[in-house]
Amino acid sequence: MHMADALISPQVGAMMWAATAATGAYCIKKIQVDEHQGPIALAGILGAFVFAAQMINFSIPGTGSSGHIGGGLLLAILLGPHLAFLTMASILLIQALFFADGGLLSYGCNVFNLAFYTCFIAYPFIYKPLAKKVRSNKAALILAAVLGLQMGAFSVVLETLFSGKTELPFSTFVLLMQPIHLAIGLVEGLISAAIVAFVEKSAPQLLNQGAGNIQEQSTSALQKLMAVMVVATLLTGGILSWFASEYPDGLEWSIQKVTGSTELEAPSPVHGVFAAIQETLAPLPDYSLKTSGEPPSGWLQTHWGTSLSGIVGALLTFMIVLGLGFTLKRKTDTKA
Amino acid sequence: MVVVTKQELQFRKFEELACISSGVHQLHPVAPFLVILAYIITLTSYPSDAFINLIPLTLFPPIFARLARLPLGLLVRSTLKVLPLIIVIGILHPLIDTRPMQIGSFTLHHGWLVFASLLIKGFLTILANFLLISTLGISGLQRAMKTLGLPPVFYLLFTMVYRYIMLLMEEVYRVLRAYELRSGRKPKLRAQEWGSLPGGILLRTYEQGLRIQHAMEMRGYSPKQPFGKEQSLERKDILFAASWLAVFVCLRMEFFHG
Repeated sequence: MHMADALISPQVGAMMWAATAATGAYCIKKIQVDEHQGPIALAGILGAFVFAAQMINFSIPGTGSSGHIGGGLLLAILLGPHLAFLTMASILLIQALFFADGGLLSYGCNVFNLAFYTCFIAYPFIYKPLAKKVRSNKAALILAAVLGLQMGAFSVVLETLFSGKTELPFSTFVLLMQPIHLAIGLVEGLISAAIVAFVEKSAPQLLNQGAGNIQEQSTSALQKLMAVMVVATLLTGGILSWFASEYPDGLEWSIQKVTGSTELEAPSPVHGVFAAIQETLAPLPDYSLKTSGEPPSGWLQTHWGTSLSGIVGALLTFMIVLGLGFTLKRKTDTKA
Repeated sequence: MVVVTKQELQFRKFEELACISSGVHQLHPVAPFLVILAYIITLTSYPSDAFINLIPLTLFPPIFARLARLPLGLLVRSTLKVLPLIIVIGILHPLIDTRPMQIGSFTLHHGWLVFASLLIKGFLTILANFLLISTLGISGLQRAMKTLGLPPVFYLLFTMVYRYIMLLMEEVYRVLRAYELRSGRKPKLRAQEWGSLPGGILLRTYEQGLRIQHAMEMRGYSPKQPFGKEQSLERKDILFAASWLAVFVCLRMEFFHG
């Protein structure tokens, strides 16, 4: 799932570098507060383990094929999400420079796709709550590994499409990426679960180190992570929207291929009525502010409306997701 | 089993190339780092179907390799080994994008142009990446990170991962070889051993790593120690980086095309 430099544009590369640097800086701050040298040595060893263990071929029963260790989730369980993110970033840098598995410009994308989702989404929001509930944490680990990888794969699709370096339609790319990574995620989850179960049995103190690290930091960590996410959201909405609005999206691209136009014609009067209502109500049609009279001219004029629309749209989505998260959390707490 | 040797060889190859004595190797590591990064940015900034415009940029790797006395053939061979990944993604374009393109007297699918562009960009970016690590090596990379203001925790962690990889590769190699011999030459790990074999390696190397860490601390090791000799940016470093950056800007702005 490592992205190559040739597949991304400098704009997307720079933005993902910024998002990765912000997350990395936040992680480093968290580690410096309460940790010293010991955990870094431990992280170094475990990082090297994840790298070296990729040489092991795990035979998948009944298929004749083999799988490999993933690492992100395993590291998050053993080290806590902050140190795991930085360790994954180190592994990915070595892979990028020495083995061209990834690249220099796409480094930010790869760290974000492979480390952020597993360490800061799959681990705290899927694995931890589920592992507490079920007696065996195996199912929780597999689900977290699958979903973490699915998010990463989807992110690869989005980054590639925003970059405009390939002209694969959105639907084709998604259909290529998601099912493959579903299978990979399942195998990685199973392998990680087997290793965690072994470590839990043989050296439970290793697992406690990571767990203790997280409980101590959970409240403030979440707040700061939210701040990072808001910045990333604003950047995405504000800058990526320029490119999103300039090129037709995957679906529009497919429609254009079939019909010769990016928009379908209204098939019925009912459609016309709803289109008129939408036109009246929508504040940000086609990701740009409504204008009356002459269209804006000049780079800044054409982009500021798009940026503002992108920011407002991204913030609205972010708030809806956050609202849903809190509602679900409250429901879970009440039940518990 | 061959995989282990290949990976070790890859690490050693770049470390050895980084020890070459050349004008470029003697520069501050930040200078080649910035030049290669600018080259990759220039390459990737071209549209998806750019082809002719990329041709002048193919001159950079041979010139850089010549200046740094690096064996270009060796690096090209390493690049070709990883190129199939790009081909897999690129080959779909001619099948999907069948818009006709008139080039001279013959017609071509637009997808072929995108594929060719992706292939050139892929080849050149990977080659540039290898040129960078062949010039810097691990110690140059650390110095570049330090000069660019990266927090010490990150490059300390990066160094530790890198050093422990060397230690662990031997360990994994030995364990896998023993497994292969005892299991009647089964190259793949059966599901029953998914946890115990890698888990065993993990616990053993964890203990080994901590022993090494303690031994280093007992001998006065501190993460605050500087990595190698301190080197500040000089005029020649700035001149090297600035002149290449100017060339890339001119090429991208199509200055030479009039």
